[in-house]
Amino acid sequence: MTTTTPYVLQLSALSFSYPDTGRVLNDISMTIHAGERVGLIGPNGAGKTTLFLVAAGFFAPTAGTVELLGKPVVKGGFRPELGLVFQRTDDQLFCATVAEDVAFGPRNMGLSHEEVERRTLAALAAVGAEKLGERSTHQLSEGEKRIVSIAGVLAMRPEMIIFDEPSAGLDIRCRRRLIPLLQEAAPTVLVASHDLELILEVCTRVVLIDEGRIVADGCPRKVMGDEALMAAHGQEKPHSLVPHQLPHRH
Amino acid sequence: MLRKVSGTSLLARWDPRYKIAALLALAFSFSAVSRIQTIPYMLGLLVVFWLLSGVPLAILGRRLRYPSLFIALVILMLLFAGRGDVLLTVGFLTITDSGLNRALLVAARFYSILILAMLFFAGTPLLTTIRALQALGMPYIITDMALLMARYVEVLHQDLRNLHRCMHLRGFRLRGWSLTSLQGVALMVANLLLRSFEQSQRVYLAMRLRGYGQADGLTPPLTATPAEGLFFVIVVGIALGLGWLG
Repeated sequence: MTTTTPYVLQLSALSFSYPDTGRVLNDISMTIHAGERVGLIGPNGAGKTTLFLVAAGFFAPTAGTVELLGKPVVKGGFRPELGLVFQRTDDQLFCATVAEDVAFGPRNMGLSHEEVERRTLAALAAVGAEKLGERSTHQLSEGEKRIVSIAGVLAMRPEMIIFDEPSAGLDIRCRRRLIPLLQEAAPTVLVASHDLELILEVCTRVVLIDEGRIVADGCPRKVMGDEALMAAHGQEKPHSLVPHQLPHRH
Repeated sequence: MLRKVSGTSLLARWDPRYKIAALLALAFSFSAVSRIQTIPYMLGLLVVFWLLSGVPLAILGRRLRYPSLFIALVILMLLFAGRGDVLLTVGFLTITDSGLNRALLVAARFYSILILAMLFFAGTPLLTTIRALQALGMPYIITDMALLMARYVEVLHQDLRNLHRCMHLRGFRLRGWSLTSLQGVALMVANLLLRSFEQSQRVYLAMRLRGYGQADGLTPPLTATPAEGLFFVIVVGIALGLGWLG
């Protein structure tokens, strides 16, 4: 992690509570710099998705501030510099056809029709989904839906993309296809996942969150390699970080 | 509607805005027809549009099955309900000339308008039609809702099927109007409603994040040639003529 590069997202003493529950986010401070690929890990209910929704401006924090590229994130404001790929693809793909869905964001950015078309084609090409343009979104496989969801966000050319459980429900081949996309999708990415091997492969930094607090922040191999820390927060050390004790059978 | 029909026919390629306006004009003129003598003109016009649409008769027939069930009942009632000269007696029921006239008129109007709508929108994607409605001034909120319904009706159907399968695997069987059956169905529907509500909230978040409400919405330009405009004028002229014949 470097502190000389400008920051993209800055969360300062951020807290958030839903009206009917206790604190979901508790005094979270975190800065994500340009070019970083940050993994967010933690048990179910740790507050990962809520953190994303607050960072994207869907909810106003009960305390603290969120700044994106130096400007405060206002509740309900539109910030195309930040993209969010949701966990459930059926929530993300709301247009009837793939091309319409990918074009949705650029069109709302007020771009010309030619530019919208250019961005749509470029985004589909970037994820290798050029042939899916005219397909109905409900007819796609889960892997295709995931790829098209990413294209929809890429078409807006955001500075930073947040991925919520990007590998959920994908088979091995689709997951493998997803990894380079996560590595190259945007200059800066934040990935929340229970797929720790994916985090190891994609991210340059990892943040462990539990009960709405940051409990560790650092190099993925170091944080996730700490068995005691991981176990204390309901996580397991990734298999690839466990030294082989038995020889492989042939 | 009629997705299997290719979009290369003359009618399918016609600008959807003209198509909607022409369909409305023709539908109003068909519904104004009140003389039996005008019915052959209506049917002749229908044949012309059928030829222009390239829709196979078999597909048209399949699509008319369910609406026919509904209209058959109305026609039967009209046939036996009129007063006037008795044409035929079937048991205690009598068919009169005025009843026959009215039944023929209603059937001709109903089928003509329905078939015309099917022919006009065969091969036109739903999205294009909705876009045309937007271009004709329909409020965005309504066209957006139509688009979302078109998108999520499949998801809801899949959810309902999955729910039913899960209940079936755990022993639930729909047996008539028993209390257990009704409870099961109520659970399924309530579950689906709750899931749909939650999903609608998530979809709205996803839409907002991609700028929904910032610009005018989905209105890529629609272009029409002068020939298409001329065809529209001719069709509206025919509709007016038919209305004048009455």
